[in-house]
Amino acid sequence: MNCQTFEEHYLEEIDGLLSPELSSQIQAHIRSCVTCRERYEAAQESLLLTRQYLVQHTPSLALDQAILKGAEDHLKRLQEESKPSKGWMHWLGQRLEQPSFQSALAFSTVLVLVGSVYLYRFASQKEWIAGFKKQASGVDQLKDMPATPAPQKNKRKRLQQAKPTPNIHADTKNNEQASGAGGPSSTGRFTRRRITDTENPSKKNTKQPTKSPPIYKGQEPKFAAGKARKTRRTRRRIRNRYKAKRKQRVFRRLAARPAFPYRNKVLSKKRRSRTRTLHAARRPKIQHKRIQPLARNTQTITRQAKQPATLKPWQAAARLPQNKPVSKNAFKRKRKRRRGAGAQGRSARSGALGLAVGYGQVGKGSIRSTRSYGRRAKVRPSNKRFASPPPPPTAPLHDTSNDRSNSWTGNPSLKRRKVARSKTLKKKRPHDDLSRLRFKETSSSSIQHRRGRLAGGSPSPSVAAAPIISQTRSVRRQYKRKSLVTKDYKKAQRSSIRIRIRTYLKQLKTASRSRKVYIYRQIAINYLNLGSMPQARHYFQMYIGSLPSTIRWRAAQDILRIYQRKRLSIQADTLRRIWKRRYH
Amino acid sequence: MIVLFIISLGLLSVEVAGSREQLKDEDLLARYAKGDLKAFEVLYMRHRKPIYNFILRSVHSPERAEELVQEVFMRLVQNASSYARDAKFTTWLYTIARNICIDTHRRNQNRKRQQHVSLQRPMRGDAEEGITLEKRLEDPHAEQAGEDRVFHQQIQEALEHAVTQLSDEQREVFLLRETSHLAYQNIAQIVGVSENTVKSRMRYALEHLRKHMKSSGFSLKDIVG
Repeated sequence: MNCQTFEEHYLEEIDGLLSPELSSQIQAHIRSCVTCRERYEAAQESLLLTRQYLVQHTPSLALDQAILKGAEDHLKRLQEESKPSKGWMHWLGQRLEQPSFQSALAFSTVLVLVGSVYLYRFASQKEWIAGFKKQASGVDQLKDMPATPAPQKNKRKRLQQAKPTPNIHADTKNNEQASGAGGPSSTGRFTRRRITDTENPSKKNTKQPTKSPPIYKGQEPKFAAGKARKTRRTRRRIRNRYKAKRKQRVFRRLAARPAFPYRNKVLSKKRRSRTRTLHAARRPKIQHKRIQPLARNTQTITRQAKQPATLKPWQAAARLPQNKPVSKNAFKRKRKRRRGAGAQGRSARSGALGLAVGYGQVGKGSIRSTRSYGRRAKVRPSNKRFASPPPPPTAPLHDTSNDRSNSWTGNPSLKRRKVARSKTLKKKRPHDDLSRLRFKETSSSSIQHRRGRLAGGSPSPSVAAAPIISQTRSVRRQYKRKSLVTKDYKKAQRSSIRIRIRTYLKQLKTASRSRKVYIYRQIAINYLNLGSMPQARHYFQMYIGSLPSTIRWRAAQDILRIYQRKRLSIQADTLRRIWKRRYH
Repeated sequence: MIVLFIISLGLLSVEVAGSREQLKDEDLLARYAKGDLKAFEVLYMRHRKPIYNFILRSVHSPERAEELVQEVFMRLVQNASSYARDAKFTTWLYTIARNICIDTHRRNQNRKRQQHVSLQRPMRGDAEEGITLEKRLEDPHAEQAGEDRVFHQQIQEALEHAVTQLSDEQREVFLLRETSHLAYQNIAQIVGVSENTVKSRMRYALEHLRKHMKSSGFSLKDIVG
């Protein structure tokens, strides 16, 4: 044994805890090593000293009592807690003390009440309930009408019922005697008749549940008004029944449609109209249809047919039935062509004008906007030249040279002034007329014709641009206004979409799971309307993700349909990304 | 018959009481958890003195020590049902006591240590035997029982002082070993160090005591002699 091992074990050796073998080894080491022996002896002395002189203090009796009491109390508490409950009444009593349970109870009570009221109302629309009510409360109503008993399948039963009991028979006999009517008719049916107190004196003293007022001679029965009221009520009931049927029909139709379930919602009237308006805004086809009458009034026509020279331009435009608004793309195409031909300056301006028209057509989706256009269009230019009534047309429509000369025959001074002005213009800027013509007359053949003539160096007086200039300016002014309105409208529309998105996002925090599905879809669609595709894609992903996996494919179909409806092409890989990103 | 019945009942109760004394700590605690208050009494009486001494020498204040002892046993009572027999009962109990002492020490660490000499505190030994300072002031001739007794008192005081001079680590090991009589293995579990470390700390503690006693003018050979 070495000193290190001795150090590990000598304390145990002093306490006598070592095995005899190890103890003998330590003793042997003590005998051999002086240092270890001294250390051993010192430790032994110290331990003996402490064991002899270290005092063991005793805690006070109060502490003992306190601890034992505490233990006892704890034991009692445990036993009380472990006691079985006193039944459901005890449980209910305990629960009723809790405020959360109270509120839950109140809420459930209200829910039950509302549910019962709703069920009652819904059931009242049912026929059998209506019939039952009729039977129960419409005794007065039926008193005056011939009543037919309900058809019974069993003929024998019906006959038994038809056979009057002795009492009934006596009554009917009395009735027959009194009025000569009632009782079983020749057809075997009962005919009920109102029996007044005057007619049946035997029933005077008998108790009646409802005492009808006496009817005097020459006086109409009072229940006539009541009858009318009842009829109205019945009518209302029938109307309601029809409404319910219609609703059912709609539901059936929607159920039959293989669309996404969240779309199968019967919208309110207001919402329906709003949706229609929005759709109109999105679909150019519908836009054309709606804008057409207004376009005539507001001179948004760029393709102008030949018109009588005497008519003012907007009047002519309004009268022509074959006027067609030119679509935005068509106009762009034309403008491009014009620019390609080297037309600058005014033609470019006219292009801008046309663009405004195009935007007007695009942005006019809302009925409100088109209406505003109509109103604005009616405002005539303040030019006094247009104040005088136009003379009747005197020249053929196709003759443009006559157009120019004839259009101002009614006012020779004006004509003179305009011609002079046109001459000056022509001198300064010979190409202006051409550009104006181009703008004015979109018919390519006429443009070519005029251009040829102009190029030929024979300036015709028919090309005098005075009326065209004036028309163009006025129209331009109007269009400028319209374009401003259009821009504002577009701005407003975008901001309203943003607000709608914000509202949906707010709703998202408190929405239920099913509502979230709807909200995600709506947000995505709104982003699509705004043109922010990444956001739309993100929310479409959320939309798919919030659905159970079994119907996600339907959501994907729905997304595809939305894209198609927006005239947007969704790439296959985009859809795949939406579909596959998280869920596969 | 009735007398026989009463006698048998008495014998049974005595036997049960006797059996409680013989039961292990763990069994007693289990009995208490099942509702046997007497079992707890036995358990408490078995451990109250060592625990009290251990805590008293850690916190150096009898009042505080009593409070802490109460806290230790209340924790024991509250957790009796959740006690698992993985560890030895004494290990568990002293771990609780040590943790409480450490918490108290931490709480008081920033405070200025004020060593109040309590008039009611026994100057040495048991409360029943020890003479308080108050009594001594009243009657200065109360303790005139011979030179040996005075010598013993001086040794005890010196030893107490030497124990307080030990470091916390050494003192807790020394006290657990000498006042609570725990095995080195259990002490190692309580303190959370290895057994060899515990032995080492014990050796150092003994050496320190020896030196302190020597410096106080007591030769251990003479005392033990």
